Amino acid sequence: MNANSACLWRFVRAVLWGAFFPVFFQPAFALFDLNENGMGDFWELYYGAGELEPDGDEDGDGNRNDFESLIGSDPFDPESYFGVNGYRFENNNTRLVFNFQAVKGVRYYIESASSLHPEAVWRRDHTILSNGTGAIEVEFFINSGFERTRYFRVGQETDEDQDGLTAWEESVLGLSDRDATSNGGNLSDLSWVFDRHFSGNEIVINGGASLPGAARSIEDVSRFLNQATFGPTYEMIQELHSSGQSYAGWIDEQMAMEPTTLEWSLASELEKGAEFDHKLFHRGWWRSAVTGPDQLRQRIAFALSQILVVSGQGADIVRGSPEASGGYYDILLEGSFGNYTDLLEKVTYSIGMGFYLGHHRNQKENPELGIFPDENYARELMQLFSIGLWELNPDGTQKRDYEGRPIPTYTNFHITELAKVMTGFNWGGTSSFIAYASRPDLPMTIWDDYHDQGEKFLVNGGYIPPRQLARKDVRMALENLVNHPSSGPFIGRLLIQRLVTSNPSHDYIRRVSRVFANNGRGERGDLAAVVRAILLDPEARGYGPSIDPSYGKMREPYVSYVHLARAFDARNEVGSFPVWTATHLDSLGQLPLMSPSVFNFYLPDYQPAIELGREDLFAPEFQILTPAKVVSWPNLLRRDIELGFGYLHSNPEATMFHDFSDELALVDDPGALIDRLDLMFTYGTLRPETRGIIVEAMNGQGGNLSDERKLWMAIYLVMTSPEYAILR
Amino acid sequence: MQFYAKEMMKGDHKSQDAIGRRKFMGEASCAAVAGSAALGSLVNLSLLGKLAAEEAPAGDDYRALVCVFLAGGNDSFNMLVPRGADRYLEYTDVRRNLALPRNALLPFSQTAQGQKELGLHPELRRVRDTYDNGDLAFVANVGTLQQPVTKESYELSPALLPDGLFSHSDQQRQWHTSLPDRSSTSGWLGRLSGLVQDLNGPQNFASAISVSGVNVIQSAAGTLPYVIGPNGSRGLTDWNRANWSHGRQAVTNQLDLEYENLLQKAFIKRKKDAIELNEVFRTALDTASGYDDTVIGGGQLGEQLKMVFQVIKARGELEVRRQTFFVMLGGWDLHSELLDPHEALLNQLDDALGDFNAALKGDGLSDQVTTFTASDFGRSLTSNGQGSDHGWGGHQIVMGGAVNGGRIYGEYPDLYEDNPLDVGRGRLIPTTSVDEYFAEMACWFGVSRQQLPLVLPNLNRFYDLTRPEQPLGFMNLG
Repeated sequence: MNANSACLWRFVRAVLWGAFFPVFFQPAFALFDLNENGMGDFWELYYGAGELEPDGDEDGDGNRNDFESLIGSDPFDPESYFGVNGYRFENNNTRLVFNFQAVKGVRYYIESASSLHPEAVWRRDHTILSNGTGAIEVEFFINSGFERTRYFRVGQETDEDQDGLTAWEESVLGLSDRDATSNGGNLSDLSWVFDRHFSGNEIVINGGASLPGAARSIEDVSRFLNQATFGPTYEMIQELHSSGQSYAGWIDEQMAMEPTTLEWSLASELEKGAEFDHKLFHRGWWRSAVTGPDQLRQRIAFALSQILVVSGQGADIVRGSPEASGGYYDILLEGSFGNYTDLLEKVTYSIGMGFYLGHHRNQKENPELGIFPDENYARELMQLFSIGLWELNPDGTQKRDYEGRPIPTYTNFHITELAKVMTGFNWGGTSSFIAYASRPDLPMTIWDDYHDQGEKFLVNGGYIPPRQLARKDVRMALENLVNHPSSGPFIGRLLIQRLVTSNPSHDYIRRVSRVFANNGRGERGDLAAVVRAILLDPEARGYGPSIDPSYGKMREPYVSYVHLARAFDARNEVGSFPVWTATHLDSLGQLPLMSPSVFNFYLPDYQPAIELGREDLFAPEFQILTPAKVVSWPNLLRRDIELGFGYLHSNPEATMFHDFSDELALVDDPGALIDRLDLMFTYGTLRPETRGIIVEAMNGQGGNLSDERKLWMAIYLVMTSPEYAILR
Repeated sequence: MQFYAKEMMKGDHKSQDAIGRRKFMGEASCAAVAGSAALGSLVNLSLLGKLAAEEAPAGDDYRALVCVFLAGGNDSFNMLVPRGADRYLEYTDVRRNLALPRNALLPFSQTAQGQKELGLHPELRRVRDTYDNGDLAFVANVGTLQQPVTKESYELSPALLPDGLFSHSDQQRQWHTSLPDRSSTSGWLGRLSGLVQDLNGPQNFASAISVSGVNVIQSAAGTLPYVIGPNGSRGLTDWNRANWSHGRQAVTNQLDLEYENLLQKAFIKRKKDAIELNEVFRTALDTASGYDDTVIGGGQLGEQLKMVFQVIKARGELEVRRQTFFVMLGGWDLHSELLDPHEALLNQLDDALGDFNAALKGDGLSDQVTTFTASDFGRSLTSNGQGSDHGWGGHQIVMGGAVNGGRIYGEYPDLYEDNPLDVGRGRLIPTTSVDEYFAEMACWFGVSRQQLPLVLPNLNRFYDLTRPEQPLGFMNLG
């Protein structure tokens, strides 16, 4: 029962004689508040209260207008508020009568406890669904077993299911505040309302008022696709816009698509004449990322590859064997919309991870030889892949101990214990732990006789009994981590940072971690639900680019680079993807499965405080934006725009050339050309000044530039503009 | 911000920062301290910069500190190894299959009285020679500490331990910040640069150079490293070519626009700085050395140090008298297999340090440049099969003409299992704090005793600042 965080409470100390009542508020929750005035839009509609000031108190009932919006009371009716009016004893002190003020259609709780100690147990004495607005009286019979002093509190349900809609809002929308997905679909209720609104649907509330649907602009469609894919093509934007399909519908369709696996892409590249060597993985990766219709999956898998990091820098098998690296990437592609525990399990058995973090051939303690289990995987599994270093609240803030210090999620003891779980792994296709086989194509096998058979103590009080099957130990340990309260906010924040914004609000993280905790059908760690929640959250969608100056993220250079290839349909004659990736780490700071360490290309907490001018802001991708890369990326971009994609001196025939035909046709009408580029790359946010600069440059060199050079310059300037560099 | 070189302060957008800083320093006497709160909790160091300038000796007093970061956690108990018969036995007992054979260890020409007899990993021949020549020293069992720790307090008072002990990211950061008791983005070399910035002329971007990416160690309020690569700095293609002048004009105009969004603002600042500083930096290096045929071996670490060497030679053109450098070699996190890869890494380190030292000596710069190693942590003495796991205390190298070399500083610990420093699996409590290690070099760099706490706020927990002796004594302060 999480009533404590979803209720507003009024406290009453009902001493059997005398009277005394302290009162305090719980903080307010997020509301459906598109006009951002601090008061819910449905409440404004219902009461015609849109013109009120949030800090005013129109009816003088002691509840501020924004508070009335939270509880759903009428801001013009002094009788409509939430508060305890008083209490009295009757019948020789054998009966206690409460009188409090309620709002129609909302649920109230009366609870009591023997003290106000934080650990005190509150007993729920009454639940009342109010069928009217005004004073309500509730009676208690006091029996001899009652303590001399008992504390009572009255709570109003505000967001019991924590889906971001208040109980009152759900009641006027005909939804339930006891079920976060009471709309009948697979979205949380807030996302569902949001999606309906932004898909142009009118929303009618009880009482007859209605919120008209937002006309979804084509720019907004582009913004959404820039967040959810490796960059949209012009046709993709047109198609989603004209189809009228909702974003939620598009996401569902994407999730239902078969993965464009690396297994398929590698085979295709081999058919097109690629060698079976370390470059094959990258060719296949490019084929999937550029051509895969399952763009959302491709994008999520790339994000996951930056959380569940394996790298060819540190594991030769990942660099050298396309089977190992392609196999690992396919685990991510296939697991992008599955369950997080299942994904961790596949990762744990993968040969790539086995070599990268060293649990391959890791064996149980051997006191005679003075050998202990390797701790590397155990540590990073906790620190980076599941729960992080510090205990987190659902909103991503750190929990604090009584001295105000953050609380570590684990100690070194837990690492040594988890390291015992990760023992007994060997190559797949072998007959024993000590046998050798080179099978990068198979998951590892775990051998009970080299697996630590003792009991193990896990974080959060988890326990693994002795003498279990090794496979069962591993599964239990992974479940223990995914069930840890920190896993949702930890993984949720990382995914939000990859897709939407570097500095998500606490409310945003809380809404996403709620979905991580429960997808609406009781399942924890459902990545499909998490991805939906991230992309359909009000903070991701809104009415377009946010005006909050700290909103957004730097686009990953690698994602932008793929966008270039997608935007102009870069192809060579054979239809292969021989992208020359050897210099990418140096010029872009990224290359799939080639991170410099298990800490990814950048840290989630990288803070360029000096440039951002604020010490509380993060900007992970800025960590790779060194003085060298901030110019080498535009240099690479320019070369590829002008010479063709992945231009190779050694093999110019293999170069993938752009199809600029649509754009070249517009060169004589720079305004129309820039409109087109602006839509595709910067979702209509290109500033007039920037447009002016581009036109001037196209007319440069005395107006003697060829059409192609004009076009190249325009694309270059759009893709290097701050409007493109920062996705917001 | 320190990102503008003198030549570039003519344009109006560029001079604002410089003027702001000047004004700030003019009012420095007392009131301005309140304003510094916005820059971070540490005292604003620039206020004291003038002081440092006045105390510094006159003449060509160039000095540089070069940090060689061994990322991943160097297993330094296989770098500096007990060689005496009893102690060697203790070593093999705990290291088992990770132990190096005794007869392969390189002996030192002499062992100071009262010190354990130690030897070096067989790949470190030139390091050994430099040590024997008196230009190199080791600091033993140094690590991150927020308070002195015993095994008892380790068990009883976890709150007094460094945050995120044994974790790469946290321990690297703390080696950079020297602040293991808080989450901070202020590095000790950054604070050091801030303190002596008037020696370089204010805002000189070349006072902190990284050849290995953005880092914390050189960052502090108002200071960021200028990040270059082994080939120096980079600029935009065709920037100075007439047939791309329209492109140059467009990019320049784009970067002159004002943006509300903080990320867009920051993006512009990075790009603009990079383009402008590249011009200054390249010109300085070309003027100073042109083509330089000095060879520094040791793979990518050598390439980085070669660039450091070239920048040092351009110190006159860059108008710097105090510089810090950051180079890094990764790959030390040898969980799965220690012996062979460690040998290869130490071989690289030996070549790079040996050649770098020779190059500096050749140019008469050895006394003015001090090179020191740092690493996430030492490693567990016990084996996990073929490798070792994350530990705590470890040994470091300091090299240069100003080093009182040929000695081991700090205490070389006992290695037997479960000894009073062993908190499990042979992870040893450091007996010397990073604060003491760094303080020694900060003094040499020109920081007075009174100013030391500004660079190393926790130093007084380990070292009595009123004591006449240096914290460890490995630097010759002349």
